[in-house]
Amino acid sequence: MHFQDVIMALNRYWADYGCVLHQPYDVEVGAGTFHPATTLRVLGPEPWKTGYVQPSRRPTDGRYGENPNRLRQHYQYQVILKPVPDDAQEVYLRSLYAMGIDPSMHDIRFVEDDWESPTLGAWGLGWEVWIDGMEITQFTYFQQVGGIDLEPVSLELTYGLERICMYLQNRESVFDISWNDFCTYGEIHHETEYEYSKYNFEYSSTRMLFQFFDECERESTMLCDNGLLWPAYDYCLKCSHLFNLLEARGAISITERTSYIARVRHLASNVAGLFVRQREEKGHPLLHTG
Amino acid sequence: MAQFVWEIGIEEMPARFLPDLMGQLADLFSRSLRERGVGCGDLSTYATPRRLVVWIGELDSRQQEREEFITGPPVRIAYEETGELNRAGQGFVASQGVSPEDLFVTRTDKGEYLAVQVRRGGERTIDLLPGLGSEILSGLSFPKKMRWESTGFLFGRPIRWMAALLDGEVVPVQEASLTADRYTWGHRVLGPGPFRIPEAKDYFRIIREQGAVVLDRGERTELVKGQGEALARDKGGAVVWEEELLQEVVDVVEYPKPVLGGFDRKYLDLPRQVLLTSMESHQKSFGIEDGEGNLLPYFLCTLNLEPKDLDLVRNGWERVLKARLEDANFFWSADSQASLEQWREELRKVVFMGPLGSMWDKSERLQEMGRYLDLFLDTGISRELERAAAICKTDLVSEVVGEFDNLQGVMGGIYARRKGETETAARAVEEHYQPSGPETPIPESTAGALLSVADKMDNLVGCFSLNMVPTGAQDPYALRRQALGIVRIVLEKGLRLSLPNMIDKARESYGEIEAKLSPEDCRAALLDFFQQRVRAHYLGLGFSTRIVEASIQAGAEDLVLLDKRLRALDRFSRETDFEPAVLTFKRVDNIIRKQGGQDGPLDGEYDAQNLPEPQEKELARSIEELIPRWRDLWKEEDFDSLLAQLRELRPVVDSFFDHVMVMTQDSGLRRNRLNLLWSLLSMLSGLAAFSELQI
Repeated sequence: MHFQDVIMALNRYWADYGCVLHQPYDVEVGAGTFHPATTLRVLGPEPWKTGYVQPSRRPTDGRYGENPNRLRQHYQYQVILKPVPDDAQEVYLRSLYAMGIDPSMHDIRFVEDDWESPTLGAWGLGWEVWIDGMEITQFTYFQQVGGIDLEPVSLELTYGLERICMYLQNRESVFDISWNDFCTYGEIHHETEYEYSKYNFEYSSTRMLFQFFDECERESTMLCDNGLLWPAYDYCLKCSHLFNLLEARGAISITERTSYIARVRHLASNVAGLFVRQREEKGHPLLHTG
Repeated sequence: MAQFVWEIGIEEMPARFLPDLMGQLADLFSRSLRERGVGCGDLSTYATPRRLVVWIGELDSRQQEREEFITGPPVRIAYEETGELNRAGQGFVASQGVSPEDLFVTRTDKGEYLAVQVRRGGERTIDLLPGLGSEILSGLSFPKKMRWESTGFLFGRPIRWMAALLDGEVVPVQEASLTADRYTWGHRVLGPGPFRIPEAKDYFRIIREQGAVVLDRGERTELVKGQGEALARDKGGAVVWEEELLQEVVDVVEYPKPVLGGFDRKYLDLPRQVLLTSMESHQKSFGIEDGEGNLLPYFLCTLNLEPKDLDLVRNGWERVLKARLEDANFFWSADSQASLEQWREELRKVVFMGPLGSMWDKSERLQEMGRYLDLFLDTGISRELERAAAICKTDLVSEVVGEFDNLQGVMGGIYARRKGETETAARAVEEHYQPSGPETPIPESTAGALLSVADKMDNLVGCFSLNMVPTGAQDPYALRRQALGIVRIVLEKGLRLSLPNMIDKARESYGEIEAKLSPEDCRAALLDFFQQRVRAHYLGLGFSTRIVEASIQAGAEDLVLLDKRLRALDRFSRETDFEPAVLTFKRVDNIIRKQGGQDGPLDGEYDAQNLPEPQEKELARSIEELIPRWRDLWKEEDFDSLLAQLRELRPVVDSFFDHVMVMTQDSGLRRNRLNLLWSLLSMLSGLAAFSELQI
């Protein structure tokens, strides 16, 4: 199965399950969780089901394209089910069939792995799912986002698409994955891995990033004050990414780190609170769509 | 007598919770039964990742009955003037479920009260169990709880089903959105179910034979160990078991199936610790070694499955481990090219803690501290110790430790040897994080022990200077463990060090820092902190509180000295004349503490001529005679003999108290007598604080 076939198979499976197939969010994020289709939609009482691919940037994980298992950007397939179905684990295991993995042939494990995002003020409990010793999915019961208790609780599934493909295609380097019949993952991403690693670790302008962080923070706060939560959230995401870039550059000391995280979390909490109020004012329209 | 089984079906509960949950479940259930007066035989609990089970082979089918005498409101407020019961009276009748005819009057000191005799209990156990069950589900505690459904019920992981049977009858325990029934689900692949359980006693057979679940963790452990050993023997080796990991492995599977996988021999060039950590920490697998202790190119993993195609699954595990080893190999070869001096330079960029500078700064301080300790103890390893201090943190910037932080120190030692350092220095680097826990070994080598003390003292002084003092359960930098580590090293190695001097030296080596505590406050706080660790250490060894307290109060700066005093005092406390001796010298202590200050501070200077009574002359003479001998024994640190002196002294002191009135009206004489006692007390107080010796 090619890389793009895995995506299509998951799209098909989750579309059939009733999910809205979102498109990747177009602001830099570190994980599919940051997509507003997760961060915001898990808040409040309205039911919600979605699935989408999200390119996820983690500057510190870059290895100049030299390490066969590590990337500064990878692709996550993210699913949100709200409320959580009673047969959550079975629903997930069936999605493996869609990718050609028969769970009854393999040693499948749910290994404790609680999840926390200090910048989003979010946490959940759950597992990483192992197939024959390899982690392929994060399975999390979301408890809180933006410091707000989730009611109902959402299930978040995050598939590591590269891992799954390396497994399915029996490849030892991520760059050798076939994207389709003609093109490998490496042909698309090897150069970007190298250049972004150079940029993230060596060339980024620290002064510009610090300034930009401050400006984005102000922008987000201003937008929140004016009730424009969606653009406010974009600038919150930018702050989060800028923080990651600064960290990759080693520009933030351990003591400063905590305060930067708190600043981003503050923005995220404001946006989350605003979203909750806005949906309330609109009378929670999705509660009535059946 | 009935049989009872209760299965709580859960999504995978973290392995580390299971042993504790089994204990809690047994305790809570037994206690609830006892409180309700339901008799039962042995109660067993079982746990797998997907189920918690309670089994009782013999359970009374009815609660015991008992008579209860219940007092109600005073008679004077319970009746209307007409003689009918009023609201208060009726309320009492209703709350006890009796009729007005059952009431009688009981007389007490406070007057007449309504009372009633009721029979309680006798309910059917099956009617009590549902309430008991949900009480227990809410009562189980977890390190973290979660919600998963609209009831908002909190538990460690989602509960998905419950089965509960008393003999053949369903016990409808209700909790979350579930009600217990008579169905169980087995192993997810090998026996998914659902399976109907006709009677409680059938549960074990069904879950094993149809559900393919090995309920008993002891049995799972035996299976993994037995089959694992056999597989390793086939390859001419033995499994390198890690007890903690083994416990975890058996608690993440319902159907353990040990499997041996292999890897390329070329990875055997990696250091043993790196190989083992790669297998253990990420893959929860064990290494295999030959008779000489060399690792073989195999690993033992434990499946939770009897696979239809074993090779398919084994290949999966081998591929993952290979990727891990490839990573490790990559890190190892990158590290091989770096020099220690390069790494030392990089330490300048590694933050130690807040405003306390970098790891490079720390290594500079450790060198200073190393020189100080060596000078002080005259160990003659100053050069090696200084070198070890300079390089002991370099592995923090190595790739391997970046990946496996539990290998800090171990890798430092390996790199030091490979990069041409002396064995003494390398050994010290390797050992300087030891002991890692209250039971784990301390450094074997002297250099390792000294470096470990220096490093821990540096951490403690740094944190305390910033007023980062552990409180309650909050101890993020494990300062308690580190202080205890110093205590153990100092005692086990017999290092004659003064804690306050060491604290001052460590603080001095920090130079100018933005401290929140002054050096004096920092020293005082740390000494108190050390005292608590020392106290915990000796109480842990089984010494009694009063012995430990009396010894510590007499001084805890030189721990080796404290140890000798404490052990001697403990021996003395087992002798018959210990208690009279304590009483006598406590009396001295008391009178000085209570009366000593009233005529200005005492100094122990007394005038032997101005002691009119023969008994006080005798006491003064005895003290004079004792002084030279006392000094010699102190020098020899012969505390048994010092304590034995108390025996000789006691009759003299007793007779002093029997015949001499210390608190006389004559203030000159009073002061002289108090000073005489003070001079005695000042000798004794170095031995033990008698005020602490409660009898």
